[in-house]
Amino acid sequence: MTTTALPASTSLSNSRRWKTLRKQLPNYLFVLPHFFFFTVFLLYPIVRGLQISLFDWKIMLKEQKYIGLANYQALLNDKIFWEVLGNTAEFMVVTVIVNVILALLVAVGLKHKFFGSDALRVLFYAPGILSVSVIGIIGIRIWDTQIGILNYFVTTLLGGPRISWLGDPGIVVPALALTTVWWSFGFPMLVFIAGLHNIPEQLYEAAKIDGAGRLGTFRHITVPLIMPTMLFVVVTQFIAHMQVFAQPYIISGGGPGNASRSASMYLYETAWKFFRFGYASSISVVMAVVMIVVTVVLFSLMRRRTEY
Amino acid sequence: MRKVFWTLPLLLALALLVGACGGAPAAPADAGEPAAEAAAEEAAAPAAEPTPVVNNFGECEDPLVLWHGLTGSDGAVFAELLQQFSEANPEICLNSEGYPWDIFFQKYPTAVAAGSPPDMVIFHAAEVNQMATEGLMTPLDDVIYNDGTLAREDFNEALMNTLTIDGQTMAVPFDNHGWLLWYNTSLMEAAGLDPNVLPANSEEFIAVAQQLTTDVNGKHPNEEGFDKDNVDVWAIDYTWPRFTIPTTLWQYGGGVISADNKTATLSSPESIAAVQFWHDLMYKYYVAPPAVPGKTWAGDLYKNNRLVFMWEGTWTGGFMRDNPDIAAVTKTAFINSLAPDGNQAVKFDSHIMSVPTGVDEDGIAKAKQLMTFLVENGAYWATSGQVPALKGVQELPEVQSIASVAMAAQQFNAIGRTDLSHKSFIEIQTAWETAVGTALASADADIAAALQAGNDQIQAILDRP
Repeated sequence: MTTTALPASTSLSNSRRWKTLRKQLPNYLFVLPHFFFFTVFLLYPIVRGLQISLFDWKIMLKEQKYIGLANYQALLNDKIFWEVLGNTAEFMVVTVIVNVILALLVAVGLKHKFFGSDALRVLFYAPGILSVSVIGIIGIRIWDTQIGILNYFVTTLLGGPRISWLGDPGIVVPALALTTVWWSFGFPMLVFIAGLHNIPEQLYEAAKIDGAGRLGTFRHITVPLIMPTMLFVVVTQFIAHMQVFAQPYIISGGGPGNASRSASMYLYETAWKFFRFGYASSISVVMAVVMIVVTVVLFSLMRRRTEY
Repeated sequence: MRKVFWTLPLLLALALLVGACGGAPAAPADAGEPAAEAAAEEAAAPAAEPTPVVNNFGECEDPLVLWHGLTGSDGAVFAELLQQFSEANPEICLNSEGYPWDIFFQKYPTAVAAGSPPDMVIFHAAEVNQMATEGLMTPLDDVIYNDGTLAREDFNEALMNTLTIDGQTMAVPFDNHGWLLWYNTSLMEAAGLDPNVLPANSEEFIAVAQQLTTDVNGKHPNEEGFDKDNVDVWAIDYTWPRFTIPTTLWQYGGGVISADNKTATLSSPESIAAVQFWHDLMYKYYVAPPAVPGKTWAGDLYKNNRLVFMWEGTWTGGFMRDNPDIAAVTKTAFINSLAPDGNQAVKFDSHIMSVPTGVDEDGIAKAKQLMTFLVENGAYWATSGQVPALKGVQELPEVQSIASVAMAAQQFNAIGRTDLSHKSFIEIQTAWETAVGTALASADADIAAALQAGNDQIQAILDRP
């Protein structure tokens, strides 16, 4: 009895599955082009990078020497790696904090229309359309000790000392971070403006009726309700600025010493100047792990504070 | 109103686009284009000249492909030299591509690994050991030396030793280039000094340098009230550390690594003393601008009569051609010693020509023809300021007539030293440059500690299997 019932059930199930699959086929076809490029240009390099990090990879050798986790062990004892990772973290923290605070404040100011508000939005966003090379050259002109415009104001107009903005290990990273903020805070500003428009206006009106001041409204309505946008901005800014490369490469050359060398710069040099591809791959893997872990922590911390 | 404001970014973007188009490099000269078309174009626009970046001479299916990094002022002379080769060898079509060095060193290994290398490359002698060890170069003994086309002994001996890896000669020198003292005679005379009498050691140099350096009020560093933040004329500048530091280390008897390549010597007393002297020049005697990232290029100071002694490359000949006013008051000399005992030494390098791994017989034969032409026509290359590699060519009257080239040739042969030769050369170089950069970045830097950190890093590189 059961032997005759099972095939019928299986056949019905298969038929349903086939129908569902046929129904969903267009969806898969739409996804396919992206999935193809994702696999070829992202997934494969990631897997390949993981593999290369386990070898003493020489570009011309056909048989590569497997060394297991030796690259990772060496990385743990590599003082320069930890130094550049620290520089990168410092740069990222300063840039993200200043970017987020500045972008949010400017967004609050520009949320409502007033004469010139559109012009100000354009003005604040404009540096973002410049290439990072241009930003680098502008940065040099601003921070240069001898002919920089900043030292012109400090020494000639204010009578202060000539400050070595890019030569002082304690100042160089903040200098690069501020240059980056000027360049990049337009995008989070626009995102915050969009996020602010999603907050129901009735809440502000109710708060106003209840006698809430501007600061109280900002603290108790704007900040809690902007948290989903904040989460997006913080995570994307964190990921972007952890990968900083061009600003220190162009403006300070990573100096003085290693004071402004970023992890991405070190990775690039290790691979393309020193030809240590296996070691460079292990750097990229560790950086990816750090970024994934921090992103997960950020998600969990900020989601708890998110109100919908 | 809103539309008006949103047109602003569009206008800005358009302006940037137009600016970018305006700054595009000149179109490559194409010797193979039909004569009628060329004539028509000539009537409409100035005649095309070879550019330092990309040049195609002739058209064929299998051109001789050359990659190099000669894209500066010497690149223009190099392009003219290639044109002469093309005219002398019409049967060979040539595709020359110039890249910034960092791009060159990305393309070169990947092209070789992918099995599509250029037929010939030009880079520096100092990098030969690393490239050869990575398996990127073809030994040239059987290609060009053993058949008598070129003789090793016709080139600088120290240089040929650098190009010899495991007993095989990996390259052909195209030139000798390196540091030379360029100095402003007019500023020396204005300070009451004889331009024909140069300081011979550290003590003499400090005395002269303090006499030459003046602030905007005309005061010298050893005078009361000297304004170190507003210096008008500097005695010397800390130019490219890659040449300046090895030169000074050697003058002091120090170095980066020992002769047997086994021990790091960056933190030896001699090396520390050498770096300390540069630190003193900047922060104790105030006769050199502080070595901070992004500082003004020495050439800019020099051409504005704000720098007296300029340690710069032989390629500065091109700079002098472009600045005849300053060239008229400039003389060259051996790099002055900054050591207490007056010991002289100078670093020089070489643009070398090589055949990448994987080039076929035909490509090697064509590359050999071009290498031979370039070496034998070094006299023309000397017009760029670089010293021809062949000793015989260095002595030709037309080469000796170029004062800076004659001086540099004499200097390199007398006191010249080439850089360390090691399979991890670039990593070692980055390590010592970083350490010295830290040591010289500020007045209160701990020089010994910075050099010790660099030394430890270099030793770790040397200790690797």
